[in-house]
Amino acid sequence: MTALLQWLVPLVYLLGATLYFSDFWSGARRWDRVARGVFWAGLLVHAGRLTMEVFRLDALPLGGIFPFLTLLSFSVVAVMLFLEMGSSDGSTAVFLAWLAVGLEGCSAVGGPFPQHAVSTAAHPAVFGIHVGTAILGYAGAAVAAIHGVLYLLLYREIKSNRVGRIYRFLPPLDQIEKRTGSSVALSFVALTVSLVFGMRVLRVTESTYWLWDAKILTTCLVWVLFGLTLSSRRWLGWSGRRVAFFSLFGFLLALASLGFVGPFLSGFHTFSGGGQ
Amino acid sequence: MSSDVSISSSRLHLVGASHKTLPLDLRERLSVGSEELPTVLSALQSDGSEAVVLSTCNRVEVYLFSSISECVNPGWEVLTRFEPELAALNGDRVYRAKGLPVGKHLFRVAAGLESQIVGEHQILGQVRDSYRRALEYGAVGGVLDRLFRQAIHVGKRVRNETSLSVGAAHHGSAAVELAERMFGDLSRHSVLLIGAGDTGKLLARQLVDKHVGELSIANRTPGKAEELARSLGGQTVEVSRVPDILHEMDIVISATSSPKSVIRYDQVAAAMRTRSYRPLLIIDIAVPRDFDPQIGEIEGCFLKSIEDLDSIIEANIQERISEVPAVEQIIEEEYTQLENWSVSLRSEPTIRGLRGRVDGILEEVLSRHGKKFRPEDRVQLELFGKALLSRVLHDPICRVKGSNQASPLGTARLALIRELFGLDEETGRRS
Repeated sequence: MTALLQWLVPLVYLLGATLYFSDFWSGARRWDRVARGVFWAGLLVHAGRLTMEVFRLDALPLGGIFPFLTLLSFSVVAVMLFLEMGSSDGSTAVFLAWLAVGLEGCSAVGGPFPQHAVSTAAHPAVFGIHVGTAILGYAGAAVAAIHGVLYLLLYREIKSNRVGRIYRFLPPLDQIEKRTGSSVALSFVALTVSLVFGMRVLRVTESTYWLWDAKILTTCLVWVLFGLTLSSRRWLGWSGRRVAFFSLFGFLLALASLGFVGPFLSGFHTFSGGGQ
Repeated sequence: MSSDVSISSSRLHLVGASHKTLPLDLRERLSVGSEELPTVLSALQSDGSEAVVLSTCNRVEVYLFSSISECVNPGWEVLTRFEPELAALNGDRVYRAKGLPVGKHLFRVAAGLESQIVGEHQILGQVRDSYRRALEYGAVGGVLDRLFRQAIHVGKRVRNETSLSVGAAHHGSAAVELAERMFGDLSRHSVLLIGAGDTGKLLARQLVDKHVGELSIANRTPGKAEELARSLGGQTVEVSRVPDILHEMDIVISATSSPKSVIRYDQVAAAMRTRSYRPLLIIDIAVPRDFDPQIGEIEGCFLKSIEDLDSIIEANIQERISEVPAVEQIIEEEYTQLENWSVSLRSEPTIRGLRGRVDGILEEVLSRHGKKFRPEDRVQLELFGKALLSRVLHDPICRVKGSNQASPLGTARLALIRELFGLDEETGRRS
């Protein structure tokens, strides 16, 4: 059953992504609703798989890069479907869907979940919320960055009168900008929760609320950057390219935190190194 | 009379002229308005034929299915009855077709392939209207009904399955398309129209039709601005105040006849700063330009001239042309279906006759022996008889319909049934 779900989830996502791509390629919106349905089904199966693992381990299935990737793909799909909800104004899902397929595919190739939960002195629920919301925050940053790139591409096409596939298929600039803002907001909220719960974990494990850890620092930087973006958007009326660039920069920081700082510089977080 | 009742015979006709064959002034003289339509249709139907007239600004066509074989299409004579000069037109100026190619032509028309701007989508509505009006006047029978329904289906398929009608092909729609690509729902965005000329008015009208949030009109002659504001449902603004309110606008259309720039770079730069560089679309269709071209370099400011709109239209039309092979594929698929249907028509009189013959036998038997049964049993007996005969006939009828009726085997099957049951070849009645 576990092995079946391990491959079923990426295959369902692959089907959904192919349908989205078919629409993008043909320029018609024939499969849009079906693809959305397929991703909802995939998300439910994915949630079922994760729930089974939580019950088995009595904690979030962590410890290693591959469980992390499946949690990240789950979060990306959840954010994608959240943004697409109730929108008939065009889709950006084709770009996010392939990110989810890539992440979930890598995770499936990596093999089954670890046999034991990550050992920590913190309460598993507190630790789970800390890590889960951090992953949701990173997924939000990735989705915001993709929307930021799409905004910049469409901006350039309209400026230069280039009527290409991007011009025809993407939602209006205004919509993409709103989706970028929503993703940044979601990421900010998730990172806030993660940081708060992270302090709680630190208190239990290290008897302190703060450590000069590279990963904590970069995550805090992303959090501050996204906080500034949201404030500027709300009170200074910032929009468009500035929000797009900020979201991109935030994602690059998050990526640095996950891919470089975490494994190589952080003495405290060894997220992708196979356990804590 | 011919035994061939399929529409590949010479009974289905088309005659017409379009933008490709006749100039506008001659097409205007041929056009059939809604007042004249009943007279024209009744003239075309004088011998019991089916007729549909498709009259648009780009084409006038008569589709006719004659009740008699080998008829001469009276369509052109009817259309030109008050225009003797045009009655003599022929050759390249007037096109005619017979049999199934008429169907293919109608499919191409409904798909938008024969339109002046390829993929133009109004034509499908016009085909539908022509068909409905002919239906209202009782001018449509089995053949034209099938033909027009299928043509409308072809038009819908082309719109759903290809991008032939995607993208703006006129200045007005290109301006609306740009605005929608930037802002999506226009109801929360404000528009400023500078100048009250015809072109600007036309663009503003297209945006108003999309329910823009707020429309302001500025013109050197306040009277004209007020008149336009009344007709479009907006408010007037003094021209001198335009730079001050620029930051409140999302879309600006400028079409003045001023000999020099109306808005300077620094004025737009200040407006953009005030609006925190939120996107602003400026469509400057004035000649000479009302806006300094350098304004297009300001962040968030999209300055579009008439040439920009032209290049968008050109790109859209190229995209449409690239879709033509896919559209032709759909038309070929539908044409094959039409051919099959046409061939299947050959068996209809025989099948109808066979059913009638069998029903007649049942009725005869029931009237002879039915008195021996109680009334309620007679009803049951009749139902049983009908069900039994229907089951007996089901397979043979399916085989006849399923075989290629133009083939020797198909023809032989039909002939055998007619001979066995004594049916007339043409009417299907008992001979």
